[in-house]
Amino acid sequence: MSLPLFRLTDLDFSYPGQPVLLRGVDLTIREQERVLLTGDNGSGKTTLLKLLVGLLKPSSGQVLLSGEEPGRQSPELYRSLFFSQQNSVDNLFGLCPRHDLQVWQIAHPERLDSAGLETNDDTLARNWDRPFSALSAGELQALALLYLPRFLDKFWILDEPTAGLDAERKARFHALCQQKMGQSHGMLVVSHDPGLPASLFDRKLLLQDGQLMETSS
Amino acid sequence: MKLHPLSLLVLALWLSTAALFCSEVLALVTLLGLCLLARIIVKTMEFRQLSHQRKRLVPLLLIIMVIQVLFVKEGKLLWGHGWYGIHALGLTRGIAVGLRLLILYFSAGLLLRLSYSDYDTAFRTLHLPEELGFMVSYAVHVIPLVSQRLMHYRQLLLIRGISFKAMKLRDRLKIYSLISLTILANVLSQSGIQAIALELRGFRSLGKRTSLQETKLRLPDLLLFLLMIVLTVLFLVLNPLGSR
Repeated sequence: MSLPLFRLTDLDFSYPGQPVLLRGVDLTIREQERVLLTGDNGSGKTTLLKLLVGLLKPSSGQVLLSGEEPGRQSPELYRSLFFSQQNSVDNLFGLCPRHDLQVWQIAHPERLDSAGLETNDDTLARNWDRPFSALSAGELQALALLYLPRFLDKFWILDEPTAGLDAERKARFHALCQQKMGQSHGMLVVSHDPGLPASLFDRKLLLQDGQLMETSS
Repeated sequence: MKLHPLSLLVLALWLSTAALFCSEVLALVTLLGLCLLARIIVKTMEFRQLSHQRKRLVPLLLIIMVIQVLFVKEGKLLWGHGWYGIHALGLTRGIAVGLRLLILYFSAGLLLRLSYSDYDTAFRTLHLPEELGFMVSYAVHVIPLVSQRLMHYRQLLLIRGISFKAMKLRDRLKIYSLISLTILANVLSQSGIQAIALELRGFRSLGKRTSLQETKLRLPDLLLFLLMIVLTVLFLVLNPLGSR
């Protein structure tokens, strides 16, 4: 059995001045697990992902990533993760796709240095220097996921990865998820996409009324 | 204590203006004390928060003080010799500049407590147009918004596996310039979108709105205004304009 990557213990969370959103959440996710997280709008799925990567701090309880508290620590702690947020603009740096690529290349020169990268996505290949503001929501989402094939060996944390994508790009994403099976690291996906094959996941979690439940459907 | 938004606005302006006019360390310390007291009374800060903010402020203040101490070579020599000598005036100025910055920082915190409707109430009390309240409110909240975005992008860089410590200077500069561009573009595009959203909702298209909000100044507000007037008069009497 693979090692626990995330461990949440008795986690409570509420935004300032707001009622409690997550209450007494206990969760362990192992490195190789593929987990689907669902729940109603506003149930706290995105918040849970942000807590996992240290973008938010729990009100009480503990979050551990590889045995350490995530936050402003060594980037080595995040070496095994690929994180994509729901709002695709929040994932992108600079003013155009080329700027974002430059940041990726600084982080992972060994993975993103090769030629032919721009042909991963035909539409995007024409838009390298177009400002993000001139791209559609679907194109921005596709950009946020553009480098996923280079990070198959990492644990993916994806928040609504198929939102706004056209059928062709959705199919491409589903195929990528198929490739992910058998890799050293799994994934945690938040999605409402009914087209996402259930067979891709080992576990399905439902977030409801601040509580996390295992579900079979 | 519940104060009228106009009182908080005037108090913040009074404190920051007084900090610029006062040059004596004792007066600045008194102003800083008043500023912290005001923030604690109107519950915009707790002692726990103060100790957290100290971690960020102390290094900045120390740098400013050291610069003043090293470059102002007037007054009695207190310690050292030549370029590293500490002179009385340099030390006083270093402390005064540090205190001024603290007063500006903490009085700005009073303004951040106010929401758009508070600014609207404050400006309506003075019979000033609604648009002014909106513009001031937006401008005041831009800085914390930028700072929030900066923290967010720093954390995202970390998640991408970027270590600033291990990075070459050239890469570091490139990253900082990209983050600055990203934040600036986000803030500008956000303000553009909000302006369009306001127009679409018919901002001011139906004339003046009625409101249930209390716009009258109450006794604590009047006492605060009185205190500010008394302190200003005292300051002017003790330090005539020509003597500064």
